[in-house]
Amino acid sequence: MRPTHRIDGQEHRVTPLRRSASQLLEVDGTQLEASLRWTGDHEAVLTVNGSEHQVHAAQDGATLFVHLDGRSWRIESLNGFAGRMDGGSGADGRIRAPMPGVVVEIDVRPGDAVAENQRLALIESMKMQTEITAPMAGTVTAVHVERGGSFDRGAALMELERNA
Amino acid sequence: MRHMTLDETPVPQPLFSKVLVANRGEIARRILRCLRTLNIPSAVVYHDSDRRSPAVAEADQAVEISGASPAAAYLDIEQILSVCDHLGVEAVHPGYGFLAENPAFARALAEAGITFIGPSAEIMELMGDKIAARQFVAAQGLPVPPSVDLDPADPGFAEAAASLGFPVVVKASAGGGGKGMNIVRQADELEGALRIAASEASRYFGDGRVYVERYFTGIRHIEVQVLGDGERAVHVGERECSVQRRFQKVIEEAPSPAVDDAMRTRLGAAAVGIAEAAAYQGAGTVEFLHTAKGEFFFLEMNTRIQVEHPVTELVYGVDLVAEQLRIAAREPLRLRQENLQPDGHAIECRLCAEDPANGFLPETGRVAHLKEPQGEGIRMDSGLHPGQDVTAAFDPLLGKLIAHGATRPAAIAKAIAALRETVVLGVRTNAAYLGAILAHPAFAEGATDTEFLDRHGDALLSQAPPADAIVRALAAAHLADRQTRLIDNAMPALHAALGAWRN
Repeated sequence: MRPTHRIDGQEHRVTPLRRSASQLLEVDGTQLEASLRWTGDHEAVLTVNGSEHQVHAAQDGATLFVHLDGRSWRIESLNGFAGRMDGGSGADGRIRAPMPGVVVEIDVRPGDAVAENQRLALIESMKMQTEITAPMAGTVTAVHVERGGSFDRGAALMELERNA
Repeated sequence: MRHMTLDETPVPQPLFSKVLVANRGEIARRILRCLRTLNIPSAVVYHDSDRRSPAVAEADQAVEISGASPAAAYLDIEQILSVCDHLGVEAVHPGYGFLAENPAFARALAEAGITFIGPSAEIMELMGDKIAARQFVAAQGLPVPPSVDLDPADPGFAEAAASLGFPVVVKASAGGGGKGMNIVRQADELEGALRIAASEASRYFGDGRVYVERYFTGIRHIEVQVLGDGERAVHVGERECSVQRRFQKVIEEAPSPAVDDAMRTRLGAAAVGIAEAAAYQGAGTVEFLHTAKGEFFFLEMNTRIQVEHPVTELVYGVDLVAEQLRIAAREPLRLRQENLQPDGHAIECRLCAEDPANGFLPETGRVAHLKEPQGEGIRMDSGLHPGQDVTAAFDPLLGKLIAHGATRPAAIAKAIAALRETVVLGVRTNAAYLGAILAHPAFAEGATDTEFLDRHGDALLSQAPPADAIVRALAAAHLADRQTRLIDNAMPALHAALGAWRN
């Protein structure tokens, strides 16, 4: 196992080398002695090479939220847990929401034939409307959302089957 | 309103027997806090998704409402009226957004004998129709931006718009708050912009009318807070809200670094003139655009309590929500213009669930841990609670951090320190981005105009955290990870020391 983490799309390596009272870690090639002493459910003191830092931390599956040095970090553990599904529509014909939002209009129904780049739906997010278009020509096989409904990023909005 | 007992001792009676807050989130809490201070029994309506929100816990009574979507519930006039009837509510505070500027809501309440905490339906209609409001203000002899008042279907429209000189801005007559606004930089973009603006206007406001104004660049957005009792009005100074992204305010402050005492007197007199001409009752905001040459033009008047009202409260020591309640209870205005003097400086930062590094897309998630900043001169207005699901159903505004200091630099320093102490875990926020704006030299100089973020946004976003901070964060994440902790607990130190993990 090569423990890998991701911050804002950038991958980092954290390798535990030795553990006693503190752990000897190698982070992106730098070795350091670190320990975490919990003072509450989400509060701890991080000691790195002898200096102490107040930490707040929470975990959601493979995602760790850490507040440290005056900012909040969202750190994904890329192995050890199942990877997260990203947004974006794939070649599998599943149309995914690029961002969380609300459905303004749906232009198609199951069984409809659509052309590449044809508008399938209009969604709204951040007070801005965005068109969802067909990544390929095909037939709509399922629509998973309804007008007015809200969805999270990466949610499957509809299914498209590529023309044979 | 005072009630005299037999021994002639005045016993203060609450202004209302019960006030319902028809809103949610931070503003519902803000209003409830004021009701508690004034000893007024309170009630709030809530959608199921807000069941565990602090506002529901803090109100004396809370009644669930439902809707096709969470937002639809808070817009359902019939349902809210029926709650008022059921609870015996005497007055309704609408907050901002939702029904706050809806004349039909004010009328429906009036018909039911309930007080709407805000101006009359007629004033809301006048100011809500941006074309009519422009005409009303122009008739008072105040400057409004050059515009085209033709219907977009009129064959002369395109030519008239072009004659303003590009860029122009297309606005929805029923709009405001940046919705249905599009900047057009050249003639061939005008038709498309008109179509989009009309479509957005129909959708948001049920009124597809749009108009075109000259678009000024290098301007500041400066607004004046007014309070009126129907006869007399006062102004409570200005707020500058120039730091905007896509017409949405990001940071607001009072006073404006661009306004001196003479300018404040001029702007204040103009705003008071508009309020008195309209026999305005309640709290309102007159928005101006201020050009680099020192000219100002009327933009619009908002007839609600504004999101950014706390900066005014901290600088002037006035509780604007309490004043709204007193005016709605028909008390004459107690404030005198000569007594309203600014003290120090206040800055508000809008904390939003969004990812600045990823095109400011809204972020969703569950709030796992929360620690709000505290301290002298720090105010946090938020509706956040641990366990809260932040969804796309509502606006991404999570809360507002407001810092007050003796001087502008002191307020900036306090706001930066407080942003660093703001812990919201489980959903990504713009806290670090807000801190970067406040720390920018151009912000320190007060060189803020509405293009501030267009000009400096890329530089603000490219500020990578220091490498040692990244290393510390990764070490903390590794050690905090439940999997690491399980393995740590399960593995005797001796084996761990052998470096069994390394491969």
